Amino acid sequence: MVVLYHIKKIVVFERISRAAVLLGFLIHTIGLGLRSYEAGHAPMLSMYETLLFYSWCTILVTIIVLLRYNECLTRLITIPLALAAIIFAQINVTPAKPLTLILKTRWFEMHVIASFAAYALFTLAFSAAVLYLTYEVYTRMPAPGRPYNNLEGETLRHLRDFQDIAKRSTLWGFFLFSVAMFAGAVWAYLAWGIYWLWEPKVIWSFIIWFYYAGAMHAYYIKEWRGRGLAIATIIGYIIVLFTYLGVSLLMKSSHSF
Amino acid sequence: MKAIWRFFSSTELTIVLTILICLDAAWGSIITVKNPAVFQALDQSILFKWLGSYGKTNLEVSLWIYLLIALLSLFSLNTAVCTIDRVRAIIINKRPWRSLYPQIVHIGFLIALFGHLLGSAYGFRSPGHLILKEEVMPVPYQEGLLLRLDDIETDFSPLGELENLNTRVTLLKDGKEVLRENIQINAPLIYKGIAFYHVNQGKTTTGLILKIHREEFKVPFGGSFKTIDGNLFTLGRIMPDFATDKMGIPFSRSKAYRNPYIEIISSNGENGWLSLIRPGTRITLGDNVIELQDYIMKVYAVMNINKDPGIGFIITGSSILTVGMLLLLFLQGERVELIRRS
Repeated sequence: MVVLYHIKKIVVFERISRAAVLLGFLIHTIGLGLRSYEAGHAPMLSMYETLLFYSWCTILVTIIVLLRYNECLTRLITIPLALAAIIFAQINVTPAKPLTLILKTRWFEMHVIASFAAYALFTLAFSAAVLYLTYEVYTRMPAPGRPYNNLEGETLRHLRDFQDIAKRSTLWGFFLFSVAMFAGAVWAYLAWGIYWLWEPKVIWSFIIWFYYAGAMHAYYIKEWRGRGLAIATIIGYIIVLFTYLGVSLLMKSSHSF
Repeated sequence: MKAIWRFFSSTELTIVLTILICLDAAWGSIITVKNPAVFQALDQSILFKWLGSYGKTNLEVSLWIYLLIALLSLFSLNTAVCTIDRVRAIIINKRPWRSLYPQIVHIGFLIALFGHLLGSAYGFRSPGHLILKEEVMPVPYQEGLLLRLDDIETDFSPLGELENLNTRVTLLKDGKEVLRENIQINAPLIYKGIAFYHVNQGKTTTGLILKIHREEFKVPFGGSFKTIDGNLFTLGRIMPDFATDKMGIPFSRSKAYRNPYIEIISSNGENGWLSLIRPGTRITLGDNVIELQDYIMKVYAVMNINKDPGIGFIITGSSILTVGMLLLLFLQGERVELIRRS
């Protein structure tokens, strides 16, 4: 519907799209609620549950953009990604299980919830970065050295918005990811006396943190803004995906997801 | 000097270093996957001690860590120089206090990294201490400090899942009680920076209850007992999977406890092998029939004992970093939220 809206410029399509997203989110929320009720805890124990939670967070940030800021392009990417996560979750369905004693702590909850909220924000940043690049190529923008601020009109506004969405969601995502790493470290210290493990999941989380720290610093270099930052944001999301799914599927890790 | 200072305060250097750190860590993740046993052992060691011993002679697995330390050192220097520069500029130019928020994040990061450095250089990790109920064990690297296991309380769900665990322990210094505390899952006992973790528990056999001529003896493994008529017996070797060869000499077929026997030696040099498979088994040594009445069972706990002098700095640094980011997100003139379209 949103694609039709952009092609035909008929407002009804956009409204239907908006309503469909809200309805889908409501159903998703009910589904997550039921799963939590069945398991007796928030959905954060298995790959299946975290994929559902990740897609829910992704749709939530999409709706925030949608409702508060009247932005209707990022969802072209975030919603398919959320759907892909749901489909992948259906391939990995696992029955609901209670939390083991070691997982019954607020630190673990905070660790998982903040991680996936951060992943969702990185997804939003990724979609804004992809749109930025697409828009830039589509409108045959000048080379990256030339700041787009010299341009005028709707194109400029769109590019500014995309860059802004990417920047702000990266900043929020980085903050939440820092909280997740902090909570994970405190929990590991209280549970096992070790806050760092020499294993792939922890090392790749460290990579995500440093990568986005570098990306945020890149924002302060004028020449790297625009296309450079958009490419960095896209690479960042690939690192996030690899850390979440790639490490779990391709490397042996103490983390179950 | 100015050029060096400028070099270390540059944002470009920050970005280059983050990229190099990421690449090195990615390479390291592949090495950890290829050598899981090496890195599981490192998890239970102090990093610099490991690098100075195993790591020094096995560069194929440790080179990336040396490189990571070098890059992180440069990154810290870069962060410190940059922070000093910015703070100085803010004070000299009398810029608003909110300009300091990014520097708060930097300071938090540096404190947390310092904590990691301390924890990697000092302290200790001592895993896998088995302690029996009502017995004491010395706390590693702590002269005169003993840990006594008083009791373990456990609750299990109908499905057999552990629901509650309470390990009561007492710390004794030079024979005097200094602390009596409970250890729970996710709640270790922490005493002067030393953290005690309960990692496992169970019951183990520590001896036998034997009967000779209606007389009962509780004998720990390796212990002796004397009957009324003056015969002295000692519990000797245990064969977990008992068998005898063609010459009748006993040996153990494996290390698994499939067919355990214990040697009983009498004071006159005679010996025999008593089956431990179930109560009721017996052997005759001289005029004495020795019967296994029961086992002496004791509760045990497995404890990890660690000391990490950096943990306080890590928690403080991470908290400062988080607060700094919150200030940046909420109080920086330009609020971090999406631009509302008019």
